[in-house]
Amino acid sequence: MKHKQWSYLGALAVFVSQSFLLTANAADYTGGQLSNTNITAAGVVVPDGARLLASQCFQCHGTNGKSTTGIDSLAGESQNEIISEMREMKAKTKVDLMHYQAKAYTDAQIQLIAAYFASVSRGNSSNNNHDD
Amino acid sequence: MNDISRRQFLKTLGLSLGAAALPISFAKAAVRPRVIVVGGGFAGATTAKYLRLWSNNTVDVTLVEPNAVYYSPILSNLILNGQKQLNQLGFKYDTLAQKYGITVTRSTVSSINSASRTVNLANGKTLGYERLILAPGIQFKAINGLDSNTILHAWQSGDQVQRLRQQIQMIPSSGTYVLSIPKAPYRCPPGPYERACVVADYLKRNKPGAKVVVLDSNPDITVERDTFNAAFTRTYAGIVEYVPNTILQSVDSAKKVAVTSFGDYRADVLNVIPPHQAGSIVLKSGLGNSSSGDWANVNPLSYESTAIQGIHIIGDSQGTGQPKAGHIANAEAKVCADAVLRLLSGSQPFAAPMTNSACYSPISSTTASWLTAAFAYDPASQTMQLVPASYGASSGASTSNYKKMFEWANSLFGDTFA
Ligand SMILES: Cc1cc2nc3c(=O)[nH]c(=O)nc-3n(C[C@H](O)[C@H](O)[C@H](O)COP(=O)(O)OP(=O)(O)OC[C@H]3O[C@@H](n4cnc5c(N)ncnc54)[C@H](O)[C@@H]3O)c2cc1C
Repeated sequence: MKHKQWSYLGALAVFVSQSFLLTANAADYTGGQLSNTNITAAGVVVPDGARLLASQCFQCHGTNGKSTTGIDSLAGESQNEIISEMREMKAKTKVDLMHYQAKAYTDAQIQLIAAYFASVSRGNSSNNNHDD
Repeated sequence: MNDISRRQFLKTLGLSLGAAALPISFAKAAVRPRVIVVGGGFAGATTAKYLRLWSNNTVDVTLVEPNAVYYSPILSNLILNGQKQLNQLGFKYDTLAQKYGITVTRSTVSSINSASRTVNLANGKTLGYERLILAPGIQFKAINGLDSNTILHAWQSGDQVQRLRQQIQMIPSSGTYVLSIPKAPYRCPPGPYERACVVADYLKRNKPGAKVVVLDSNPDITVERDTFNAAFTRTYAGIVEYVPNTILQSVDSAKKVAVTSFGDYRADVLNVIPPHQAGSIVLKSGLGNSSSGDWANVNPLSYESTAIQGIHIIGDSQGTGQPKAGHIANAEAKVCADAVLRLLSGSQPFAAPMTNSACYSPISSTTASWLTAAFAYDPASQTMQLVPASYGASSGASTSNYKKMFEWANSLFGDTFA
Protein backbone atom coordinates (compact mmCIF):
# COMPACT_ATOMS: atom_id res chain seq x y z
CA MET A 1 0.00 0.00 0.00
CA LYS A 2 2.65 2.47 1.05
CA HIS A 3 4.83 1.25 -1.75
CA LYS A 4 2.06 1.93 -4.22
CA GLN A 5 1.66 5.52 -3.05
CA TRP A 6 5.17 6.65 -3.66
CA SER A 7 5.60 4.81 -6.89
CA TYR A 8 2.43 6.47 -8.11
CA LEU A 9 3.97 9.80 -7.23
CA GLY A 10 7.17 8.87 -8.98
CA ALA A 11 5.22 8.05 -12.08
CA LEU A 12 3.44 11.35 -11.82
CA ALA A 13 6.72 13.25 -11.61
CA VAL A 14 8.01 11.52 -14.70
CA PHE A 15 4.77 12.20 -16.52
CA VAL A 16 4.88 15.81 -15.50
CA SER A 17 8.46 16.29 -16.50
CA GLN A 18 8.12 14.62 -19.86
CA SER A 19 4.80 15.73 -21.14
CA PHE A 20 3.48 18.75 -19.28
CA LEU A 21 6.25 20.95 -20.50
CA LEU A 22 5.48 20.10 -24.09
CA THR A 23 1.73 19.98 -24.08
CA ALA A 24 0.11 22.01 -21.36
CA ASN A 25 1.41 25.48 -21.98
CA ALA A 26 -1.88 27.02 -22.92
CA ALA A 27 -3.33 26.65 -19.45
CA ASP A 28 -0.80 28.82 -17.71
CA TYR A 29 -1.89 32.02 -19.42
CA THR A 30 -5.03 31.94 -17.39
CA GLY A 31 -3.17 31.68 -14.12
CA GLY A 32 -4.44 28.13 -13.88
CA GLN A 33 -2.91 25.17 -12.15
CA LEU A 34 0.33 25.31 -14.04
CA SER A 35 1.38 28.65 -12.70
CA ASN A 36 1.42 27.01 -9.30
CA THR A 37 3.89 24.32 -10.20
CA ASN A 38 7.59 24.75 -9.68
CA ILE A 39 10.55 23.98 -11.85
CA THR A 40 13.65 22.49 -10.29
CA ALA A 41 17.24 23.34 -11.07
CA ALA A 42 17.24 20.38 -13.45
CA GLY A 43 14.29 21.87 -15.29
CA VAL A 44 11.77 19.34 -14.01
CA VAL A 45 8.27 20.41 -13.06
CA VAL A 46 7.23 19.28 -9.59
CA PRO A 47 3.82 19.55 -7.91
CA ASP A 48 2.62 22.75 -6.30
CA GLY A 49 4.43 23.62 -3.10
CA ALA A 50 6.98 20.79 -3.36
CA ARG A 51 9.90 23.10 -4.01
CA LEU A 52 8.96 25.45 -1.20
CA LEU A 53 8.48 22.59 1.28
CA ALA A 54 11.76 20.99 0.19
CA SER A 55 13.58 24.32 0.48
CA GLN A 56 13.02 24.13 4.22
CA CYS A 57 15.63 21.36 4.23
CA PHE A 58 18.22 23.54 2.45
CA GLN A 59 19.32 25.35 5.62
CA CYS A 60 21.13 22.17 6.69
CA HIS A 61 21.27 20.02 3.54
CA GLY A 62 22.42 22.80 1.21
CA THR A 63 20.78 24.85 -1.54
CA ASN A 64 18.77 22.47 -3.74
CA GLY A 65 19.80 19.67 -1.39
CA LYS A 66 23.46 19.87 -2.41
CA SER A 67 25.38 19.87 0.81
CA THR A 68 28.60 21.83 1.17
CA THR A 69 29.37 20.39 4.62
CA GLY A 70 29.46 16.99 6.32
CA ILE A 71 25.65 16.94 6.43
CA ASP A 72 24.08 14.59 3.83
CA SER A 73 23.10 15.82 0.38
CA LEU A 74 19.53 15.06 -0.65
CA ALA A 75 19.70 16.03 -4.33
CA GLY A 76 19.14 13.07 -6.60
CA GLU A 77 18.24 10.68 -3.78
CA SER A 78 15.48 8.32 -4.77
CA GLN A 79 12.00 9.22 -3.64
CA ASN A 80 11.72 5.85 -2.01
CA GLU A 81 14.80 6.36 0.08
CA ILE A 82 13.85 9.79 1.37
CA ILE A 83 10.33 8.68 2.17
CA SER A 84 11.43 5.62 4.09
CA GLU A 85 14.12 7.52 5.99
CA MET A 86 11.65 10.21 6.99
CA ARG A 87 9.08 7.61 8.06
CA GLU A 88 11.72 5.82 10.08
CA MET A 89 12.77 9.01 11.84
CA LYS A 90 9.16 9.93 12.51
CA ALA A 91 8.54 6.60 14.16
CA LYS A 92 11.65 6.53 16.33
CA THR A 93 11.73 7.82 19.87
CA LYS A 94 15.42 8.58 19.37
CA VAL A 95 15.97 12.25 19.89
CA ASP A 96 18.28 13.69 17.30
CA LEU A 97 17.41 17.08 15.88
CA MET A 98 16.23 15.55 12.61
CA HIS A 99 13.94 13.10 14.41
CA TYR A 100 12.02 16.07 15.80
CA GLN A 101 11.96 17.76 12.40
CA ALA A 102 10.64 14.62 10.71
CA LYS A 103 7.72 14.53 13.13
CA ALA A 104 6.51 17.89 11.80
CA TYR A 105 5.60 16.54 8.37
CA THR A 106 2.60 14.57 7.18
CA ASP A 107 3.07 11.64 4.84
CA ALA A 108 1.67 13.71 1.99
CA GLN A 109 4.21 16.48 2.64
CA ILE A 110 7.03 13.96 2.84
CA GLN A 111 6.04 12.58 -0.55
CA LEU A 112 6.13 16.05 -2.09
CA ILE A 113 9.50 16.81 -0.56
CA ALA A 114 10.91 13.47 -1.70
CA ALA A 115 9.52 14.03 -5.22
CA TYR A 116 11.36 17.32 -5.34
CA PHE A 117 14.75 15.99 -4.26
CA ALA A 118 14.44 13.00 -6.57
CA SER A 119 13.88 15.43 -9.45
CA VAL A 120 16.99 17.53 -8.77
CA SER A 121 20.16 16.56 -10.58
CA ARG A 122 23.10 15.65 -8.40
CA GLY A 123 25.40 18.10 -10.21
CA ASN A 124 27.26 20.51 -8.02
CA SER A 125 25.93 23.79 -9.41
CA SER A 126 23.44 25.39 -7.07
CA ASN A 127 23.15 28.53 -9.16
CA ASN A 128 21.55 29.65 -12.29
CA ASN A 129 20.12 26.50 -13.77
CA HIS A 130 22.68 26.25 -16.55
CA ASP A 131 23.15 22.61 -15.79
CA ASP A 132 21.28 21.29 -18.77
CA MET B 1 17.75 25.09 -19.14
CA ASN B 2 16.37 24.29 -22.59
CA ASP B 3 14.19 26.59 -24.63
CA ILE B 4 10.95 24.85 -23.92
CA SER B 5 11.39 24.89 -20.19
CA ARG B 6 12.63 28.48 -20.25
CA ARG B 7 9.58 29.58 -22.19
CA GLN B 8 7.46 27.56 -19.85
CA PHE B 9 9.08 29.23 -16.89
CA LEU B 10 8.56 32.73 -18.19
CA LYS B 11 4.95 31.89 -18.78
CA THR B 12 4.74 30.41 -15.33
CA LEU B 13 5.75 33.75 -13.97
CA GLY B 14 3.40 35.57 -16.30
CA LEU B 15 6.33 37.29 -17.94
CA SER B 16 6.09 36.18 -21.53
CA LEU B 17 4.19 37.68 -24.43
CA GLY B 18 0.75 36.62 -23.27
CA ALA B 19 -0.28 40.11 -22.22
CA ALA B 20 -3.84 39.09 -21.52
CA ALA B 21 -2.72 37.20 -18.46
CA LEU B 22 -0.38 39.84 -17.08
CA PRO B 23 -1.46 41.41 -13.83
CA ILE B 24 -2.63 44.96 -14.48
CA SER B 25 0.17 46.59 -12.52
CA PHE B 26 2.65 44.67 -14.64
CA ALA B 27 1.25 45.61 -17.98
CA LYS B 28 1.55 49.28 -17.09
CA ALA B 29 4.81 49.14 -15.19
CA ALA B 30 8.24 47.84 -16.07
CA VAL B 31 8.43 44.64 -18.10
CA ARG B 32 10.80 43.11 -15.58
CA PRO B 33 9.36 43.33 -12.10
CA ARG B 34 11.56 45.05 -9.55
CA VAL B 35 11.88 43.75 -6.01
CA ILE B 36 13.81 45.70 -3.40
CA VAL B 37 15.13 43.87 -0.35
CA VAL B 38 16.11 46.03 2.63
CA GLY B 39 18.75 44.51 4.92
CA GLY B 40 21.30 41.81 4.13
CA GLY B 41 21.07 39.58 7.21
CA PHE B 42 19.82 35.98 7.30
CA ALA B 43 16.36 37.03 6.17
CA GLY B 44 17.22 39.58 3.48
CA ALA B 45 20.18 37.78 1.91
CA THR B 46 18.20 34.53 1.62
CA THR B 47 15.14 36.12 0.06
CA ALA B 48 17.25 38.05 -2.47
CA LYS B 49 19.05 34.85 -3.50
CA TYR B 50 15.90 32.77 -3.89
CA LEU B 51 14.02 35.49 -5.77
CA ARG B 52 16.73 35.29 -8.43
CA LEU B 53 17.16 31.52 -8.34
CA TRP B 54 13.46 30.69 -8.47
CA SER B 55 12.58 33.29 -11.09
CA ASN B 56 15.43 32.07 -13.27
CA ASN B 57 16.70 35.65 -13.11
CA THR B 58 13.57 37.15 -14.65
CA VAL B 59 13.00 39.45 -11.67
CA ASP B 60 15.33 42.37 -10.89
CA VAL B 61 16.44 42.27 -7.28
CA THR B 62 18.17 45.11 -5.45
CA LEU B 63 19.54 44.44 -1.99
CA VAL B 64 20.06 47.60 0.06
CA GLU B 65 22.47 47.16 2.98
CA PRO B 66 24.77 49.78 4.55
CA ASN B 67 27.56 47.40 5.61
CA ALA B 68 30.10 45.87 3.25
CA VAL B 69 30.49 42.88 5.57
CA TYR B 70 27.75 41.15 7.55
CA TYR B 71 28.93 39.72 10.86
CA SER B 72 26.83 36.76 11.92
CA PRO B 73 25.39 36.90 15.42
CA ILE B 74 25.17 33.11 15.15
CA LEU B 75 28.31 31.63 16.80
CA SER B 76 29.33 35.14 17.93
CA ASN B 77 29.28 34.14 21.61
CA LEU B 78 32.30 31.95 20.79
CA ILE B 79 34.32 35.14 20.35
CA LEU B 80 33.78 35.83 24.05
CA ASN B 81 35.58 32.67 25.18
CA GLY B 82 38.21 32.89 22.46
CA GLN B 83 36.98 30.01 20.28
CA LYS B 84 36.23 32.18 17.21
CA GLN B 85 37.61 35.36 15.69
CA LEU B 86 35.21 38.00 14.42
CA ASN B 87 36.61 37.82 10.87
CA GLN B 88 35.66 34.11 10.71
CA LEU B 89 32.02 35.15 11.04
CA GLY B 90 32.07 37.86 8.36
CA PHE B 91 30.23 37.53 5.04
CA LYS B 92 30.54 39.79 2.02
CA TYR B 93 27.81 40.24 -0.58
CA ASP B 94 30.06 39.55 -3.58
CA THR B 95 28.79 36.01 -4.10
CA LEU B 96 25.16 37.11 -4.03
CA ALA B 97 25.97 39.85 -6.53
CA GLN B 98 28.12 37.78 -8.89
CA LYS B 99 26.57 34.33 -8.75
CA TYR B 100 22.94 35.40 -8.64
CA GLY B 101 23.01 38.82 -10.31
CA ILE B 102 21.59 40.68 -7.34
CA THR B 103 22.22 44.43 -7.45
CA VAL B 104 23.80 45.18 -4.08
CA THR B 105 23.49 48.84 -3.08
CA ARG B 106 25.49 49.99 -0.09
CA SER B 107 23.16 52.40 1.62
CA THR B 108 20.33 52.66 4.13
CA VAL B 109 16.65 52.98 3.24
CA SER B 110 15.58 56.13 5.04
CA SER B 111 11.92 56.29 4.01
CA ILE B 112 9.24 54.50 2.02
CA ASN B 113 6.55 56.01 -0.20
CA SER B 114 4.02 53.20 -0.53
CA ALA B 115 1.70 55.26 -2.77
CA SER B 116 4.34 55.78 -5.46
CA ARG B 117 6.02 52.47 -4.61
CA THR B 118 9.43 54.05 -4.10
CA VAL B 119 12.06 54.05 -1.38
CA ASN B 120 14.47 56.85 -0.55
CA LEU B 121 18.04 55.95 0.28
CA ALA B 122 20.40 57.79 2.61
CA ASN B 123 22.67 58.34 -0.40
CA GLY B 124 20.00 60.53 -2.00
CA LYS B 125 18.78 58.01 -4.57
CA THR B 126 15.18 56.95 -5.08
CA LEU B 127 14.35 53.42 -6.23
CA GLY B 128 11.03 52.08 -7.52
CA TYR B 129 9.56 48.67 -6.76
CA GLU B 130 6.69 46.36 -7.56
CA ARG B 131 7.31 44.50 -4.27
CA LEU B 132 9.31 45.68 -1.26
CA ILE B 133 10.75 43.26 1.30
CA LEU B 134 11.93 44.63 4.64
CA ALA B 135 14.43 42.57 6.64
CA PRO B 136 16.09 45.11 8.96
CA GLY B 137 16.39 42.91 12.06
CA ILE B 138 15.91 44.61 15.40
CA GLN B 139 16.54 47.86 17.22
CA PHE B 140 16.83 48.33 20.98
CA LYS B 141 14.45 50.22 23.24
CA ALA B 142 15.88 52.99 25.39
CA ILE B 143 16.67 52.37 29.05
CA ASN B 144 17.20 55.24 31.48
CA GLY B 145 20.87 56.03 31.86
CA LEU B 146 22.00 53.31 29.46
CA ASP B 147 24.92 54.33 27.24
CA SER B 148 25.12 51.40 24.81
CA ASN B 149 28.51 52.59 23.67
CA THR B 150 30.15 51.68 26.98
CA ILE B 151 27.62 49.28 28.46
CA LEU B 152 27.57 46.95 25.48
CA HIS B 153 24.79 44.72 24.22
CA ALA B 154 26.92 42.79 21.68
CA TRP B 155 23.65 41.40 20.34
CA GLN B 156 24.12 42.39 16.70
CA SER B 157 27.61 40.93 16.42
CA GLY B 158 30.43 43.01 14.87
CA ASP B 159 32.54 45.48 16.77
CA GLN B 160 30.47 45.28 19.98
CA VAL B 161 31.30 41.58 20.43
CA GLN B 162 34.98 42.26 19.93
CA ARG B 163 34.84 45.03 22.53
CA LEU B 164 32.88 42.89 24.99
CA ARG B 165 35.59 40.23 24.61
CA GLN B 166 38.20 42.85 25.53
CA GLN B 167 36.17 44.05 28.52
CA ILE B 168 35.82 40.47 29.79
CA GLN B 169 39.55 39.86 29.36
CA MET B 170 40.15 42.85 31.67
CA ILE B 171 37.94 41.52 34.50
CA PRO B 172 39.97 41.24 37.71
CA SER B 173 40.08 37.83 39.41
CA SER B 174 37.13 37.77 41.78
CA GLY B 175 35.48 40.35 39.52
CA THR B 176 31.86 40.22 38.37
CA TYR B 177 30.26 40.03 34.93
CA VAL B 178 26.56 40.97 35.03
CA LEU B 179 24.23 40.12 32.14
CA SER B 180 20.74 41.61 31.83
CA ILE B 181 18.27 39.59 29.71
CA PRO B 182 15.19 41.36 28.29
CA LYS B 183 11.64 40.05 28.40
CA ALA B 184 10.75 37.69 25.55
CA PRO B 185 10.35 38.00 22.64
CA TYR B 186 14.00 38.76 21.97
CA ARG B 187 16.28 37.38 19.25
CA CYS B 188 17.61 33.87 19.80
CA PRO B 189 15.75 32.50 22.83
CA PRO B 190 18.68 30.40 24.18
CA GLY B 191 21.27 33.06 23.24
CA PRO B 192 21.58 34.93 26.54
CA TYR B 193 21.90 31.71 28.61
CA GLU B 194 24.44 30.45 26.09
CA ARG B 195 26.36 33.69 26.61
CA ALA B 196 26.33 33.28 30.40
CA CYS B 197 27.80 29.78 29.88
CA VAL B 198 30.64 30.75 27.54
CA VAL B 199 31.61 33.72 29.70
CA ALA B 200 31.62 31.38 32.72
CA ASP B 201 33.75 28.98 30.68
CA TYR B 202 36.29 31.73 30.02
CA LEU B 203 36.31 32.95 33.63
CA LYS B 204 36.58 29.42 35.02
CA ARG B 205 39.69 28.80 32.93
CA ASN B 206 41.28 32.25 33.20
CA LYS B 207 39.95 34.23 36.18
CA PRO B 208 39.51 31.98 39.21
CA GLY B 209 37.10 33.57 41.68
CA ALA B 210 35.32 35.70 39.07
CA LYS B 211 31.53 35.44 38.87
CA VAL B 212 28.68 35.62 36.37
CA VAL B 213 25.39 37.14 37.53
CA VAL B 214 22.41 36.61 35.21
CA LEU B 215 19.58 39.10 35.72
CA ASP B 216 16.66 37.64 33.81
CA SER B 217 13.54 39.79 33.22
CA ASN B 218 11.71 36.53 32.55
CA PRO B 219 10.24 34.38 35.34
CA ASP B 220 12.46 31.40 34.42
CA ILE B 221 15.00 30.22 31.86
CA THR B 222 12.89 30.62 28.70
CA VAL B 223 14.13 27.54 26.75
CA GLU B 224 16.30 24.42 27.31
CA ARG B 225 15.72 24.79 31.03
CA ASP B 226 17.28 21.45 31.98
CA THR B 227 20.44 22.06 29.98
CA PHE B 228 21.05 25.59 31.21
CA ASN B 229 20.03 24.82 34.76
CA ALA B 230 22.54 21.95 34.82
CA ALA B 231 25.22 24.25 33.40
CA PHE B 232 24.53 26.99 35.95
CA THR B 233 24.27 24.71 38.98
CA ARG B 234 26.78 21.96 38.11
CA THR B 235 29.25 22.80 35.31
CA TYR B 236 29.57 26.36 36.61
CA ALA B 237 28.58 25.80 40.25
CA GLY B 238 29.86 28.66 42.37
CA ILE B 239 30.47 30.78 39.27
CA VAL B 240 27.00 31.51 37.85
CA GLU B 241 24.26 33.10 39.91
CA TYR B 242 20.88 33.06 38.13
CA VAL B 243 18.30 35.63 39.27
CA PRO B 244 14.85 35.38 37.57
CA ASN B 245 12.12 38.05 37.49
CA THR B 246 14.68 40.83 37.61
CA ILE B 247 13.57 43.75 35.50
CA LEU B 248 16.14 46.37 34.61
CA GLN B 249 14.84 49.83 35.56
CA SER B 250 17.84 52.01 34.83
CA VAL B 251 21.59 51.91 34.44
CA ASP B 252 24.39 53.98 35.90
CA SER B 253 26.66 53.61 32.90
CA ALA B 254 29.67 55.35 34.44
CA LYS B 255 29.60 53.28 37.64
CA LYS B 256 28.45 50.09 35.85
CA VAL B 257 25.44 49.60 38.09
CA ALA B 258 22.25 47.87 37.01
CA VAL B 259 19.26 49.24 38.93
CA THR B 260 16.63 46.49 39.01
CA SER B 261 13.34 45.52 40.60
CA PHE B 262 15.51 43.47 42.99
CA GLY B 263 17.97 46.19 43.93
CA ASP B 264 21.28 47.40 42.55
CA TYR B 265 23.93 45.18 40.97
CA ARG B 266 27.43 46.58 40.60
CA ALA B 267 29.60 45.00 37.90
CA ASP B 268 33.12 45.01 36.58
CA VAL B 269 31.61 44.29 33.19
CA LEU B 270 27.95 45.10 32.70
CA ASN B 271 26.36 43.60 29.57
CA VAL B 272 22.83 44.87 28.97
CA ILE B 273 20.72 43.34 26.22
CA PRO B 274 17.89 45.88 26.08
CA PRO B 275 14.33 44.94 25.08
CA HIS B 276 13.91 44.73 21.30
CA GLN B 277 11.54 46.02 18.67
CA ALA B 278 11.38 45.87 14.87
CA GLY B 279 13.99 47.74 12.85
CA SER B 280 13.37 51.49 12.70
CA ILE B 281 12.38 51.53 9.01
CA VAL B 282 9.47 49.20 9.88
CA LEU B 283 8.17 51.29 12.75
CA LYS B 284 8.59 54.70 11.16
CA SER B 285 6.78 53.50 8.03
CA GLY B 286 3.63 52.68 9.99
CA LEU B 287 4.12 48.93 9.76
CA GLY B 288 4.46 48.20 13.50
CA ASN B 289 0.86 47.10 13.94
CA SER B 290 1.28 44.21 16.42
CA SER B 291 -0.66 44.67 19.66
CA SER B 292 2.49 45.86 21.45
CA GLY B 293 3.33 48.19 18.58
CA ASP B 294 6.80 46.65 18.44
CA TRP B 295 6.50 44.25 15.48
CA ALA B 296 4.97 44.09 12.00
CA ASN B 297 1.90 41.94 11.56
CA VAL B 298 2.00 40.02 8.31
CA ASN B 299 0.05 37.38 6.41
CA PRO B 300 2.24 34.31 7.02
CA LEU B 301 1.47 32.91 3.56
CA SER B 302 3.41 35.77 1.95
CA TYR B 303 4.80 37.89 4.81
CA GLU B 304 2.92 40.82 3.26
CA SER B 305 2.13 43.52 5.79
CA THR B 306 -1.44 43.62 7.05
CA ALA B 307 -1.06 47.42 7.21
CA ILE B 308 0.29 48.36 3.75
CA GLN B 309 -0.02 46.44 0.48
CA GLY B 310 3.06 45.52 -1.52
CA ILE B 311 5.41 45.56 1.49
CA HIS B 312 6.60 42.29 3.06
CA ILE B 313 8.42 41.95 6.39
CA ILE B 314 10.59 38.93 7.26
CA GLY B 315 13.09 37.93 9.93
CA ASP B 316 13.28 39.38 13.41
CA SER B 317 11.02 42.36 12.58
CA GLN B 318 7.91 40.34 11.74
CA GLY B 319 5.25 39.57 14.32
CA THR B 320 3.97 36.08 13.50
CA GLY B 321 5.07 34.72 16.87
CA GLN B 322 7.70 32.45 15.32
CA PRO B 323 11.04 32.69 17.13
CA LYS B 324 13.36 35.54 16.27
CA ALA B 325 16.27 33.55 14.93
CA GLY B 326 18.49 33.31 11.87
CA HIS B 327 17.69 29.76 10.77
CA ILE B 328 13.96 30.44 10.72
CA ALA B 329 14.55 33.90 9.21
CA ASN B 330 16.03 31.98 6.26
CA ALA B 331 12.93 29.74 6.28
CA GLU B 332 10.55 32.72 6.24
CA ALA B 333 12.61 34.31 3.49
CA LYS B 334 11.94 31.35 1.18
CA VAL B 335 8.21 31.39 1.88
CA CYS B 336 8.25 35.11 1.13
CA ALA B 337 10.31 34.77 -2.07
CA ASP B 338 8.05 32.01 -3.40
CA ALA B 339 4.92 34.02 -2.57
CA VAL B 340 6.27 37.24 -4.09
CA LEU B 341 7.04 35.44 -7.38
CA ARG B 342 3.55 33.96 -7.44
CA LEU B 343 1.96 37.33 -6.62
CA LEU B 344 3.99 39.02 -9.36
CA SER B 345 2.64 36.50 -11.84
CA GLY B 346 -0.93 37.06 -10.70
CA SER B 347 -1.39 33.83 -8.76
CA GLN B 348 -1.79 33.11 -5.08
CA PRO B 349 0.82 32.11 -2.47
CA PHE B 350 1.20 28.43 -1.61
CA ALA B 351 -1.53 27.69 0.93
CA ALA B 352 0.30 25.39 3.34
CA PRO B 353 3.82 26.64 4.11
CA MET B 354 6.09 25.16 6.76
CA THR B 355 9.07 26.76 8.49
CA ASN B 356 11.63 25.42 10.93
CA SER B 357 14.05 26.64 13.54
CA ALA B 358 17.34 25.35 14.93
CA CYS B 359 19.64 26.85 17.52
CA TYR B 360 22.92 25.33 18.63
CA SER B 361 24.30 26.72 21.88
CA PRO B 362 27.90 26.39 22.98
CA ILE B 363 27.89 25.57 26.70
CA SER B 364 31.69 25.49 27.03
CA SER B 365 34.65 25.47 24.65
CA THR B 366 34.04 21.79 23.89
CA THR B 367 30.31 21.16 24.37
CA ALA B 368 27.04 22.39 22.89
CA SER B 369 23.30 21.79 23.07
CA TRP B 370 20.54 22.29 20.52
CA LEU B 371 16.89 23.29 20.29
CA THR B 372 14.58 22.76 17.34
CA ALA B 373 10.99 23.25 16.23
CA ALA B 374 8.87 23.36 13.11
CA PHE B 375 5.87 25.55 12.35
CA ALA B 376 2.92 24.89 10.07
CA TYR B 377 0.32 27.26 8.64
CA ASP B 378 -3.02 26.83 10.37
CA PRO B 379 -5.83 27.92 8.04
CA ALA B 380 -8.38 28.24 10.86
CA SER B 381 -6.42 30.90 12.75
CA GLN B 382 -4.44 32.04 9.70
CA THR B 383 -1.28 31.87 11.77
CA MET B 384 1.91 29.81 11.90
CA GLN B 385 1.54 27.27 14.70
CA LEU B 386 4.20 25.23 16.45
CA VAL B 387 3.95 21.53 15.56
CA PRO B 388 4.19 20.15 19.12
CA ALA B 389 5.86 16.83 18.20
CA SER B 390 8.64 18.72 16.42
CA TYR B 391 9.63 20.79 19.45
CA GLY B 392 12.62 19.31 21.20
CA ALA B 393 16.06 19.85 22.66
CA SER B 394 19.21 17.81 23.13
CA SER B 395 19.50 16.03 26.43
CA GLY B 396 22.18 18.26 27.85
CA ALA B 397 25.41 19.38 26.22
CA SER B 398 27.89 17.13 24.43
CA THR B 399 31.10 17.25 22.44
CA SER B 400 29.44 15.66 19.40
CA ASN B 401 26.88 18.47 19.41
CA TYR B 402 29.77 20.91 19.46
CA LYS B 403 31.06 19.46 16.17
CA LYS B 404 27.57 19.34 14.67
CA MET B 405 27.12 23.00 15.59
CA PHE B 406 29.78 24.05 13.07
CA GLU B 407 28.39 21.78 10.32
CA TRP B 408 24.95 23.26 10.89
CA ALA B 409 26.19 26.86 10.98
CA ASN B 410 28.35 26.46 7.88
CA SER B 411 25.42 24.95 5.99
CA LEU B 412 23.14 27.79 7.02
CA PHE B 413 25.77 30.39 6.12
CA GLY B 414 26.15 28.74 2.70
CA ASP B 415 22.42 28.58 1.99
CA THR B 416 22.14 32.24 2.94
CA PHE B 417 25.23 33.97 1.55
CA ALA B 418 26.66 31.66 -1.13
C1 LIG C 1 24.63 35.40 20.44
C2 LIG C 1 23.60 35.03 19.41
C3 LIG C 1 23.46 33.70 19.03
C4 LIG C 1 22.50 33.34 18.07
N1 LIG C 1 22.37 32.01 17.74
C5 LIG C 1 21.40 31.65 16.87
C6 LIG C 1 21.21 30.28 16.54
O1 LIG C 1 21.87 29.36 17.04
N2 LIG C 1 20.25 29.97 15.62
C7 LIG C 1 19.47 30.91 15.05
O2 LIG C 1 18.63 30.57 14.23
N3 LIG C 1 19.61 32.24 15.36
C8 LIG C 1 20.55 32.62 16.27
N4 LIG C 1 20.69 33.96 16.58
C9 LIG C 1 19.70 34.95 16.09
C10 LIG C 1 20.01 35.49 14.70
O3 LIG C 1 21.31 36.01 14.63
C11 LIG C 1 19.01 36.59 14.33
O4 LIG C 1 17.71 36.16 14.63
C12 LIG C 1 19.12 36.90 12.85
O5 LIG C 1 20.34 37.57 12.63
C13 LIG C 1 17.95 37.73 12.34
O6 LIG C 1 18.12 37.95 10.97
P1 LIG C 1 17.53 39.26 10.26
O7 LIG C 1 17.93 39.15 8.85
O8 LIG C 1 16.10 39.41 10.61
O9 LIG C 1 18.27 40.49 10.97
P2 LIG C 1 19.82 40.87 11.00
O10 LIG C 1 20.66 39.67 10.95
O11 LIG C 1 19.98 41.78 12.17
O12 LIG C 1 20.06 41.69 9.67
C14 LIG C 1 19.46 42.92 9.46
C15 LIG C 1 20.27 43.70 8.43
O13 LIG C 1 19.49 44.82 7.98
C16 LIG C 1 20.32 45.94 7.83
N5 LIG C 1 19.44 47.12 7.92
C17 LIG C 1 18.73 47.55 8.99
N6 LIG C 1 18.02 48.64 8.69
C18 LIG C 1 18.27 48.93 7.39
C19 LIG C 1 17.82 49.96 6.51
N7 LIG C 1 16.96 50.90 6.89
N8 LIG C 1 18.30 49.97 5.24
C20 LIG C 1 19.17 49.00 4.82
N9 LIG C 1 19.61 48.01 5.63
C21 LIG C 1 19.17 47.98 6.89
C22 LIG C 1 21.35 45.79 8.92
O14 LIG C 1 22.54 46.50 8.61
C23 LIG C 1 21.56 44.27 8.97
O15 LIG C 1 22.63 43.87 8.15
C24 LIG C 1 21.67 34.34 17.51
C25 LIG C 1 21.83 35.68 17.88
C26 LIG C 1 22.77 36.03 18.82
C27 LIG C 1 22.92 37.47 19.22
